[in-house]
Amino acid sequence: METITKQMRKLARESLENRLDLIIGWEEGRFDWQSKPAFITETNEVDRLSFNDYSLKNLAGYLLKDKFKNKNIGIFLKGCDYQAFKQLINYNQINPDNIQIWGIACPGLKEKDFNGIISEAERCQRCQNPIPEELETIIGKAEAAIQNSPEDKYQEVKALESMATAKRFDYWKEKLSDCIRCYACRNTCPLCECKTCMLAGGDSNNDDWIDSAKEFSQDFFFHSIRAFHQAGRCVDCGECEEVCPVDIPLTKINNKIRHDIEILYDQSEITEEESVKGPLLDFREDDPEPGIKGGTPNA
Amino acid sequence: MPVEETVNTQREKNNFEPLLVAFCCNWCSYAGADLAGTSRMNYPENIKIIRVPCSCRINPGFVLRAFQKGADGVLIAGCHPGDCHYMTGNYHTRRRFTVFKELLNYMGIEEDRFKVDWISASEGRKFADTATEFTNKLIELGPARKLRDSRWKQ
Repeated sequence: METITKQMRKLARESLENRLDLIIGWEEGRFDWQSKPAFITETNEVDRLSFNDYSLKNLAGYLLKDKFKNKNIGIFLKGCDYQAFKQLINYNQINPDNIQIWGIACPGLKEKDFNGIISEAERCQRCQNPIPEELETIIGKAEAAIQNSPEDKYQEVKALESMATAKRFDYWKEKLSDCIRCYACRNTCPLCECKTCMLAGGDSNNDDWIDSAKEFSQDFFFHSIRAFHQAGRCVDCGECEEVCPVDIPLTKINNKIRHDIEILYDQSEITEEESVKGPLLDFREDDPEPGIKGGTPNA
Repeated sequence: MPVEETVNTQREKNNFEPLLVAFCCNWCSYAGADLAGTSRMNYPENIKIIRVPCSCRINPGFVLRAFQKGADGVLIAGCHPGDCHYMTGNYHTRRRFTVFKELLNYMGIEEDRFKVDWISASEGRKFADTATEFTNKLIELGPARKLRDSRWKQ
């Protein structure tokens, strides 16, 4: 971690002196189990940069901000952040020309849960891409990066899938009823790129679809549609679940869609090419019919 | 027990008439429904048809909103893949709703309550059959209460 921090500072200092206007990285949070994003514009601030065990925040989403458009930005991206970055280019949301990226070989991070227990971050246990291998500069040792088997990826989804439908409904009813509709999951998502959201809250006071009533049907509506709007895009960076104040297992919804799309449409690796269409923007003539999963009727 | 008998006993026992909302594409399925009517085929009056310009006009929000506002089942009917009036619309419908149907099922909604089918303008018989089958299925399943908005009144 310390070597990563040192290198981050060195790279940031050099490039701020040369041509970049802004560096996006992480700095220490208020407590030692926290880390927050840092926006560095001056060379004397560079020492604020720090990568610690809790630097989970996905920085790629900041590139969408209007105030950062047309600036020369340097950004540090972990493996999962880089997946999101590629997805943003893929969906034509950012111009990569004036962005300098430095990859970080992520050793797997930690999180503090609601009971104050510190453990390995859940999302890191599923991570398949800890190293942004395509990048020129990668900070940190590749050997130190976290390694998971591909089977870890959708274990939670499969466990839930094997339950009976009524049980599943009870599970989700219990979890989603906690929702206070703060919309933090939507606001933090690096790939939620719409300026005006179809769903209510935040910047858009649009209650066509969801009103302010505390009503399970609306919680269900919000969470299923939010996840569906990320279908084919979500990179399982875990941001939404991380910020959820009532601990709804949102990645289980996202991952279900990811899992299905992988089975149904053999989604290839995410690339930076703009010509590659997302799975729900594309089609093939021999796609499976609704209700048929991977060629066999759904159990 | 034959299906018809089950359906009839259920219908009497529950005193339940399902409400089935069908989103029909203007060019095929709506014309198919028309044909079923002009050919004097019988199909249950439980089905309420909403005409849409193309099946890919349908947003998953429509489906959930129908369930919130009292539907017991939702049917999406479009042209057969390859026959879309707008060339590729229903291919997109197919991908979207394959994923969305899986998601609904995963989140605990019985998969039989939501159906996507392809009905062409000449398939009046298929439309009538689909409507009958789906209605019978819904009578078996009983009323859908999981997603209904508690403020909704008939």
